[in-house]
Amino acid sequence: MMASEANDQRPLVSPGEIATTAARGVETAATPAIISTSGLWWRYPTFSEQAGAWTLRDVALQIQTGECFGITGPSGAGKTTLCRALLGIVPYHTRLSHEHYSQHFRGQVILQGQPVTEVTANSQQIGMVLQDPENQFLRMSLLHELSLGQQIRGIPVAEITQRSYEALRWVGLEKLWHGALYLHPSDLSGGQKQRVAIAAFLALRPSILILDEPTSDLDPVGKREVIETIAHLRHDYRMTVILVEQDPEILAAFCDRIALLNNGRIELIAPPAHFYNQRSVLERAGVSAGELTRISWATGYTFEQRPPLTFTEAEKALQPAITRGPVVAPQSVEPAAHDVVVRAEGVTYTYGDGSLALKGVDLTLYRGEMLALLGPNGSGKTTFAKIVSGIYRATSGSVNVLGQDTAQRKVRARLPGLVGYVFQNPDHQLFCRKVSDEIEYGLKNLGIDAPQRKLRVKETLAAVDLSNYAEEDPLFLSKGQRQRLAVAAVLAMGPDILVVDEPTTGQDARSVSGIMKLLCNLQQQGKTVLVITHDMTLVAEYCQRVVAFRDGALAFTGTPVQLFSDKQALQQTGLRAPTAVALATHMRSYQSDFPLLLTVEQWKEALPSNPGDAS
Amino acid sequence: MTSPGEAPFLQPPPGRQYVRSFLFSRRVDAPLSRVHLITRVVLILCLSAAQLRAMNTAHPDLLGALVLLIPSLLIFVGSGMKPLVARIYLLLAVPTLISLFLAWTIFNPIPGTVIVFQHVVYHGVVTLGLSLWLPLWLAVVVGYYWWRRGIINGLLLATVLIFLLTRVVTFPIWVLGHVPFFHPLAISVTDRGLLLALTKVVSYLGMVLSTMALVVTSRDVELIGALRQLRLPQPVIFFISTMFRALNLALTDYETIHQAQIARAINAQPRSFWRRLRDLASIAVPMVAMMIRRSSEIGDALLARGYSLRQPQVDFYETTPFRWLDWLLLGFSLLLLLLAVGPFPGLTVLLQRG
Repeated sequence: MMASEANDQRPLVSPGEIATTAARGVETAATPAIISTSGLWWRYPTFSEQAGAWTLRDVALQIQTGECFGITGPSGAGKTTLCRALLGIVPYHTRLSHEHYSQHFRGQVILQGQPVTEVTANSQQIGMVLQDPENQFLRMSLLHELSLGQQIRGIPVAEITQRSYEALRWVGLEKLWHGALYLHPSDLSGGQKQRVAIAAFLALRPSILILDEPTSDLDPVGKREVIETIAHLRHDYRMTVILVEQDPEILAAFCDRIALLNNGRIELIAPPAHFYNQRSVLERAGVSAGELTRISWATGYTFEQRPPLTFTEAEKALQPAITRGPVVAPQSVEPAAHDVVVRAEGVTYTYGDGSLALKGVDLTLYRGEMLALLGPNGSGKTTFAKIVSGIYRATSGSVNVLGQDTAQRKVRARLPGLVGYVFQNPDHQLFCRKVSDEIEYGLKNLGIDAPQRKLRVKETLAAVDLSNYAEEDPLFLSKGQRQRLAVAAVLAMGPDILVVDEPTTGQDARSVSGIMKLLCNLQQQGKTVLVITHDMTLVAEYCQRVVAFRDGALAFTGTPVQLFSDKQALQQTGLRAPTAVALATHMRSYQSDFPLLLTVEQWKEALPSNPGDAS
Repeated sequence: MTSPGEAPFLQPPPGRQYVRSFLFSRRVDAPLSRVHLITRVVLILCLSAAQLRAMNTAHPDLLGALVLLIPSLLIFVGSGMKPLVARIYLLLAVPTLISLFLAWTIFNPIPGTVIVFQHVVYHGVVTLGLSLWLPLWLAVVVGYYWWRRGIINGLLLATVLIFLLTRVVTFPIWVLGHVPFFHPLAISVTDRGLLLALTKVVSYLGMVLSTMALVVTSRDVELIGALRQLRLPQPVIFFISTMFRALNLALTDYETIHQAQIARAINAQPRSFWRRLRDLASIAVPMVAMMIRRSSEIGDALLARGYSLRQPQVDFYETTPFRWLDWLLLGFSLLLLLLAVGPFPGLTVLLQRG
């Protein structure tokens, strides 16, 4: 992984150097704080007379000049709100009357020695890159996207040109300069858009750049591009970066210190090495830890009494286990033979503009398997899944689902009863104003009678733990709950095959675990589950088979072990093995027949227990 | 908009043949794109005004309409539209124009020297009464509703069945009275009616082609530049610019939401008209939710860039100067305007006088 590679080069902080001012601690460093908050409280105004809960509670931070400061925490912890407060959007642009301020906002934010005010957001001191690259691309050409902030600030044309080009070069996109006036947002990939957003702020020459989950909506290629850009900013420009992130490997690789925000409170601030040593705090908050950390937690092998963060540290930590004897692979259970549920032969699909999305795909799916559809954006995996679920019709070739030919319109129209498709964003698929109505929507469309519908609604809500929310408006549920409702609405229709598009994107560890547990239960009930994902850890932990697409064709079909041990296939499909697998490969320099261990569980089974481990 | 000597960022990307515009895309080197947007709009407005004058009902000028079709065709060809898109638009335009021709020919009785066909369809009197076909018609409607749970198709089926049946069987009628209503209606095809219909079709075709070319070739950058040159207030320009970007996002959202509806089996059963309307309306829930979430993030992104309504923005390669071609075309537009509103009798009349 890119993160881990960068990690090896990063000067590590030894345990002796680790600051012990952990929970709610304020660092006392020699360098001046570029931004600090003290006693920061904030709650959003509500439409009712009753005051809402506090989103930020007594937040105290000090971020040093040139530091890369990470903020992590579960969904809804207040991470984005904190960023908005640092920028002054909260409370100064929330249209609160002066007398209401004290009911919603307390505390102070100091930026470069001056209190943050309503004009801070308009100053050149601080910039913020958001999660969704689409929502921050505000103009219809790359050139004007780069120039927008500079135009607002009245910078002369010649300087705008120079700054825009330099910023584009800083993020490694100088090749797009030629023709920038003609490049439309949809001409750029997600990773490129996110880098353009970073460049647009760099052109404004801010002292601080806030990156709010900048990689969570991107495919592996886009993610890598943005990570490389952040590394570049850190190492070459020494910019102060505040990085809000769920990915522990990115945080560990780039941040000098990480803060854990949970339920609006800062529960921990520490350098990565110390941060990921606080297992109980992190598990209680439901924050994900990297695979190296989890292997260490599971096996008890540590590097200098803490979980390793790099491969070099992991090798040293695992040295005692190898010297005790050869590590053998845990016995794996071979999947049993299954019935065929989908048979696709020579499937092609052409878009309206004439571009070929699928170039003759042959694929068979079996009952009761969990299969991962992998590949970069635009490789054809989603198009194939939409053909299987009857949303698209194949241009040529045949797709037979549970014995029915999907070339027939009538079959495709009834296919949602057999193949359920859960979209990535739950907000795209919730049509009703009541949770129970949402579940009933598809059932009504299938013509199921009222008593049967009522029964299914009750059962499905219970299965996804939403029975208490039956009368609620779906729009007011949390993102995790909305995601579960979207799955439930499809599940209620009783499909034998379930397609789930990026079920874990932008979710915290607890939500990911909840969704995957639900999918595993369905698989155990004999349903076939197709997961479209970029998350290789998920593939290694849950999927029995993987299918990788590249340029509209199948590039690989096999088991996760076969994929992750085939360097050529990985290279061809632009995929990377998860950290657990990469570490196993790394360990072969110590034991040539070191088994390819895919998951933390397998590592736990394969390694002899550490006698020195107190836990 | 740009010339080869200009800076690389103002030139089309190397190897690119098409660039995106408001709708679809246009060729990088499309001749019409070299004309200033304001000139394009003025030209097409004046051309359309002249075409409207040519299809005047009292004095249809077929020859004038045919001559004015030439610049419309030139504009369409010079728009650099993708051939596939152009074919789709033309395919959509043809049935529309045929319907227009038939509507004007049949339903607009214009007295002429030659009557090709005439048939009175309504005598100007509504007859109130009872007939045996009425319960039959009602039975078909109710029966269809009971069978398929649909009303519109049932009404159509019953009407067609009864119409055909009354051609074959004569049902007894009990007339209760006659009420005069509206004026008599007749299907009448005359030589003047045909001439007017043809003129209208030619003129509308010209207007459709040139308007399509304008929409397809224009880019939002050009529009923002043109609005700046017209000295519109900054908030208005900003609103229009953001609206275009938001529309682009909304279209993407709509596509995904509609697919999500298909995945929830909206097509599983035949849907009545009302059901279709309800399904369409239910798209509003996720659309509004997405728009609210997006607008909140767009607001943050704008604030982070330092946007405020009060601050004027520097022009950065948005406005383009008027060139000699623009002045030439503006002169031509004036001529067209003169044809539209001036004392010009029309080419057909001039030819007849000659």
